[in-house]
Amino acid sequence: MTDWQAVVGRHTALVWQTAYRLLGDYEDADDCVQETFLAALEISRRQPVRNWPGLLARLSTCRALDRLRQRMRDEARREEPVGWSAVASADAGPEQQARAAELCERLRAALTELPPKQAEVVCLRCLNGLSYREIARELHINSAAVGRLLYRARARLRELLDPVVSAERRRSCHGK
Amino acid sequence: MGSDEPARSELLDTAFSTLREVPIPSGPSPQVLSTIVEAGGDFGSDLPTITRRSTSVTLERISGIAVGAVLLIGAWLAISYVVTDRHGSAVASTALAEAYKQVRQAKTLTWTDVFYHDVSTKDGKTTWVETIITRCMYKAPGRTRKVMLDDRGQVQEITIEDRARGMRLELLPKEEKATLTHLGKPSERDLRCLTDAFSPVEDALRKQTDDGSEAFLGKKRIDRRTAYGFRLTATVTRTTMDLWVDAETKHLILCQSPGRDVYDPETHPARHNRPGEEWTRTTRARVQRDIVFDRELDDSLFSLDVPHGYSVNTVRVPEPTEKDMIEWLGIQAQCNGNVFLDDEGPIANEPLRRIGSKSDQGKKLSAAERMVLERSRQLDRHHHAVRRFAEVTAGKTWHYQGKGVELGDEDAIVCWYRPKGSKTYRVVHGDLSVKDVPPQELPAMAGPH
Repeated sequence: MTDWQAVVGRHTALVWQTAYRLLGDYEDADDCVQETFLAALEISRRQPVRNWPGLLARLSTCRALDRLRQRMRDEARREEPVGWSAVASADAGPEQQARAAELCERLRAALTELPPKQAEVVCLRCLNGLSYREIARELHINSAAVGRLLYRARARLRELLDPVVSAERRRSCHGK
Repeated sequence: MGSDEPARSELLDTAFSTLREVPIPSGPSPQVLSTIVEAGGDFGSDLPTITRRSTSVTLERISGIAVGAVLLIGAWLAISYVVTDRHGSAVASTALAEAYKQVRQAKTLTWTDVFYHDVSTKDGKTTWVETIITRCMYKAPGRTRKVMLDDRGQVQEITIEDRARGMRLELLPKEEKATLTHLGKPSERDLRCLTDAFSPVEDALRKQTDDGSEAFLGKKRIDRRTAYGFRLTATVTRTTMDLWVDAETKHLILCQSPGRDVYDPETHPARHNRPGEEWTRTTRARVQRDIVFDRELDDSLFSLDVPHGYSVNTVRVPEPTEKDMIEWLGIQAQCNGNVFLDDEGPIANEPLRRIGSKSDQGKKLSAAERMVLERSRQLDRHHHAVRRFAEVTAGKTWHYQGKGVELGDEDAIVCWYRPKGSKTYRVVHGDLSVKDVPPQELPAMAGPH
């Protein structure tokens, strides 16, 4: 019990940050954290956990992406615009804040369009900063496969964000 | 399009960097943290965990809860719950008190027990909800019948238990198989449940009345009846339970644990997910509904006679002996680096799991690991040997103080207890030897309980 409390105490911030970054919503992140730790607990009951941060980063990323996909599906059904729940920086001006928030939401939406494995890899790499080796170990694949997944994920994300590039270009043209 | 590539790449990098820098509020909520920590408290104990490799192990043995669900509520309330705030009206408080009085006086009870499980795939990526429904009956003194249904409403398993006789019959109708288990002597708690299951509840209710408080959830319509709702919260774990009582008759209508704000089966995000290949399951919530008082229940419903044509497997749960208890303490210490555990509670699962996992993976075990594994398997039938020994054999004279004692230390005391009918205590030392000691020679610091 003491060990579990230590694990929770040590890694809650990591799980919370991972969940909140991807979800941008307090309640969703809250649920995600709970699911993550419960899933990790289940895993630890079956096998020894060598790398808690790695496991928790993977699980929280998976859970958050699942939730994000569900949310996107729900929002698509309701035909409501995607909410801007997380503003990038309190110091930025309103326009910058809005743009940053839009970019975050676009990226979140784009991540839900990726195949799950690609989404997972790109999040672990680009948001959690895990090395290829760490990702490979967590996903039980080799580093080359991580590289391939990451390459494909980034290529697809670039496509998905293309409308934003066009919008930025139009904006800069108007600015001129 | 090719000329857009640098811009696209740059934007993607900017997007990730923006997302990385999103201001993050402090979290998670205390409720979630408490749930997580509490889940760890169940580590290796009673929360069902089913792996594909061991599906027969712990499939929510509802039969393990020998007295009715409502009785369980009583014990739970008495043991670990206090009322939490001062929003309940006097009328509502009376309703709760009256509800328990009725439960206590009931000769029979029937209800539906619904367990909600989160089931996940091996990679943990997909989770869906599985609902297990059991129709339950209780008839005083201490008899229960539980019929577990599958998802098509077909009878999957019937469990009949008679606590007074210490017998349990499990029937698998489809396979025409029966397991008759001799449970042994009922524990003190079992015996209390037979005749006076709710005396502890009265204490809790008196406390509630003295405090003048319970968390009052208000009124709502349930099954076309107006009901008062109450929230009980565990003092230590902060787990919640919602009780709904008929405003008119004061009958208990519905119990849900944890409270609906923690887990709501109707809005759970995974409720519509399609099942995948099951690997683990975790019980998330339990709802007891359709509670009916004093319905006529024929004794034949609680018969322990095996139906004609069934094959029978008879099992006797052995009473743990002193030898078992000492052996198990020793194994725990071996698994813990030859040091006795901090407390005699949950067995040292972690080292055993580590060794078991190593074995499952086909890895080579050391001689010591093989011995530990073998001995633990032999003693698996006494999974909670120490605790059970303390409860059944030694009663309140059991005392454990093995924390930090090294295995083999003949001077250090690990535990002691007084056998029933004996005037001297049995004291177990670090070298697993046992000595008879008169009460006045026990260590003065801790003293017998």
